[in-house]
Amino acid sequence: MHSIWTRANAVFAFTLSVLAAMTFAAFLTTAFNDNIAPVVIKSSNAQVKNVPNYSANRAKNDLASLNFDIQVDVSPVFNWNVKQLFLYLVAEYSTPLNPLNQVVLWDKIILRGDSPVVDVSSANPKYYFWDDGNGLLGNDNVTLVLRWNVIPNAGYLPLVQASGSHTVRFPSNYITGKF
Amino acid sequence: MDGLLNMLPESVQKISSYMDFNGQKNAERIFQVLIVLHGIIGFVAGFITQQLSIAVYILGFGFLLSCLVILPPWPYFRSNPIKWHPVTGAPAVEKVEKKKKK
Repeated sequence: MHSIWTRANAVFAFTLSVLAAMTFAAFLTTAFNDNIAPVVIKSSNAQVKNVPNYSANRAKNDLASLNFDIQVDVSPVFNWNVKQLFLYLVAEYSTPLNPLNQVVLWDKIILRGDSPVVDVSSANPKYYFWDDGNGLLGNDNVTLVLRWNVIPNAGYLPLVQASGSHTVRFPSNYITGKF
Repeated sequence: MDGLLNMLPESVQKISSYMDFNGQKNAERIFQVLIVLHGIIGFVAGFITQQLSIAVYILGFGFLLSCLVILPPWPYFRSNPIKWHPVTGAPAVEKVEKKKKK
């Protein structure tokens, strides 16, 4: 503290400590939010093909297609400690091979300041809906759920599931040709 | 850092930024109060506006303000100079001379 340099050092170090305390306090104000919002998911036109999966084992696996609607308003999730949301639609089902399969079909990033209302209608999956066998044919309990990561300014990264889901029934015969 | 400081012109290097002990103590307390105060104000303002950047900017303003207040050696921080004991002869030199005589 005797010279200008030692004083500058002391002020800067103390400012950083206060900044850390302040961001931690900001995290505490949002740490106990449940970050949940209601979602409405619908689907139509569910189809299954049996085609070789060249990206995996080259065996003939089930590849599904469907059109889905998602309606959700995520504005209650945003607060001063949220930078962006990463929304993703997951299909969950069980097969004789695996008790739980989870396939991500679609995702979307919503930055703070973007429109918080998501309204997609009759969208196609962004990513291939492959099963690792023949578990989709005739599967009448494929559940579509919407989940999101809350990317914060400070603190941990909550992973929540929107309230609301939708069950898809896949037909019990394969289609041939294009979806 | 010292290497950089040595590159400054001689006249700049001779400028004293010294504060006396009392001034150092006061300066430390002043910047602590200023920065914590701005941190609290910034936190409240950021929470009300729901904008974390406002909190950080207000804290940054507190940092700049305390730099302005305590970095230069204002006369306030030099008002209690150390009172040295007056010089009473040169005993160290005398002792050396006595040893030499023996």
